[in-house]
Amino acid sequence: MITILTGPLVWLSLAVLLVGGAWRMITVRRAVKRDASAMAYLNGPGSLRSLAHWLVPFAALNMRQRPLVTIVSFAFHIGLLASPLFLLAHVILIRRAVGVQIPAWPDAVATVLVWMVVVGGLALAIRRATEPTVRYISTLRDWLALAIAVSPFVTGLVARHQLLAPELAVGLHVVTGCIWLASLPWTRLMHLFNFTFTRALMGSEYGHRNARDW
Amino acid sequence: MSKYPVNNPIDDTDLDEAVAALTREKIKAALDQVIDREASARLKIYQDTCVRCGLCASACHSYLSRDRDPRFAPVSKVKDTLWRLVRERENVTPADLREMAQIAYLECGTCRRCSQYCPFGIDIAHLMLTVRRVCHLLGLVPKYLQDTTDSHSATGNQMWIHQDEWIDTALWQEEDACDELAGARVPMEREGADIMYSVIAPEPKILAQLMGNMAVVMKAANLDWTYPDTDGWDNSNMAMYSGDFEVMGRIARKHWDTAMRLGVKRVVMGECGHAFRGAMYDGPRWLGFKQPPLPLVHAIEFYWDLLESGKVTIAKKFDTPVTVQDPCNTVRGQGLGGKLRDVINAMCSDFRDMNPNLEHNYCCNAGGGQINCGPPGKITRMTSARIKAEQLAATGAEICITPCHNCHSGIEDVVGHYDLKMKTKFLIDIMAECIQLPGAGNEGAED
Repeated sequence: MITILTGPLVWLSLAVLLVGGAWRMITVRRAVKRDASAMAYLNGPGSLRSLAHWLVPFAALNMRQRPLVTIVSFAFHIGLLASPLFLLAHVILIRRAVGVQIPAWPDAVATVLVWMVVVGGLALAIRRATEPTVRYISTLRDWLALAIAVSPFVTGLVARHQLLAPELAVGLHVVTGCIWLASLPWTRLMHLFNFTFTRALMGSEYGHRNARDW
Repeated sequence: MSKYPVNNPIDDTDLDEAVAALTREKIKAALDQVIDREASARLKIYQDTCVRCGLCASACHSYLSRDRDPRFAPVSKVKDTLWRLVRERENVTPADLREMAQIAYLECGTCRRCSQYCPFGIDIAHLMLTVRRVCHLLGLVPKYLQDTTDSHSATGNQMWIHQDEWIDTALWQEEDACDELAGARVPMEREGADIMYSVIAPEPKILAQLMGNMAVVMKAANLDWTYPDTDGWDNSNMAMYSGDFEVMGRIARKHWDTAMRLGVKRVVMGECGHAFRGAMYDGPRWLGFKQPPLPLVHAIEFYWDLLESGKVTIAKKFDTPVTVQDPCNTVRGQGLGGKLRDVINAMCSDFRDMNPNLEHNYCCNAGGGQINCGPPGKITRMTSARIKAEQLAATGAEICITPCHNCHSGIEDVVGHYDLKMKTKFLIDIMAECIQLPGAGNEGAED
């Protein structure tokens, strides 16, 4: 059972991710062709300085005005992106599957990264449920995205600490992980792909007019 | 929602009539046109990207002024208008559309402060302008705003000024300017002049002394300038904000064609933000120009250059405490905040900056077509202005410099409504008072 899950299911979800990502790129490119007036102004330096100010913690005014949200959000995203690929168990599976050896996080680092995601995700959920403005604008899709993003980390912890039967725990972990991968191009998690592009657009708008967008 | 006051619909008879005339077919046609054909790639990408984090909320003056009423966060305004239109299409009711028109025209001034707070840099103002485009196609434009667009369409300017009135006012101001400084002129239709100076309709209509003041400054600096005596002198371009992009393009084109016909080397734009935006970016984009065909210099930069180069010197500094309203279209939209402060510090001895300032200053509650919605919209605007009133009062200044016609009228309204002890002035008002006139000794200009 686990062999099927870690074998074909992973490949399937990776395929969905790749095909979906490609589809996104094609539709964006198609739309972009009709939006020449915005694309004509895309400019490198403006885009880069905008990206830099929004990728470095506290570099933008809004981040300084809400330190807690900034810390939680950065911790959550760093953990989310940095832990999966370099987790020892994943490194071993990848070596078995494709024969490539990638470095692994020391156990302590991996643990911290994973807890950053779980605690950060919980904090974001509390914010979404309690902050009146965020509540007002939240839809099912927003909750779904958060649930999908965090669930592999929760199930990973469950498996690691053997809170369920090993087969079941690992099975759940693999399934939630595959959902995570496959849903990236179709859910709110798409912002992973679009962030660079939207930031570049606004950075160019402000950049070529010599104003700051942070 | 009981914590927050009810947001009453504005009393606008044009909106009522337009709502009564709406049919499902008309709504479908307008939405098909905008969402399927006109709307840019950005609509789709922004819709996919927004994660509903609500971090744009605290950027918005209308939200802050209403005790953080969730309905007034920028993202909420998009959710309650455009995302609904995209999702429900022609199933939205005429009454829904009326509410959306009020949000898009009056509860957002398209100042773009929210884009500086959005982690993704989503151009929320652009999305609200897309809603206005739909409203325009359905005739759902607030009455007074539509009137300015109609005036632009018929006369080329915002306030139904006829050509003879334009010329007559210019000549009248030449006489007044001559009283200040012998030889001051208001040249019209001078082909090959260095500068075409561009004003907006409120100057000849209600603030003509600004034209006289500029004639004095031009003479003092010995500049070769001109107005056109034809249409094409006003680029305030309210059509840009009503959603009538066809008329917007026509106005921008007329303006640039006129400058090219006169063969000037550059266009200097008076203290107006809309005109600058229309001539600098929205107009040219609609026309498919990457850049305006001639250099365009806003008054702030023009004065900065006059002072920096020594063409104009200050006889005696203005000593009343002043603060400044940063106009969105020139400070956030063109990065002129630093030069604006240089100009003020060169002319004024007691400058008290606002907090927040520069690109982060709050909206004046007038621009982007808000004040042009006229008396029916005033209470809504003033409710949105509470944070501005507090910010103004905190400066302790007696004069608020407003280098933009909308900021000027908007701050005047805020000052009146919140009973602040403050007056508004344009930069040119202060410059005309403080300038060293040729042959006038060190006394400066007399009133």
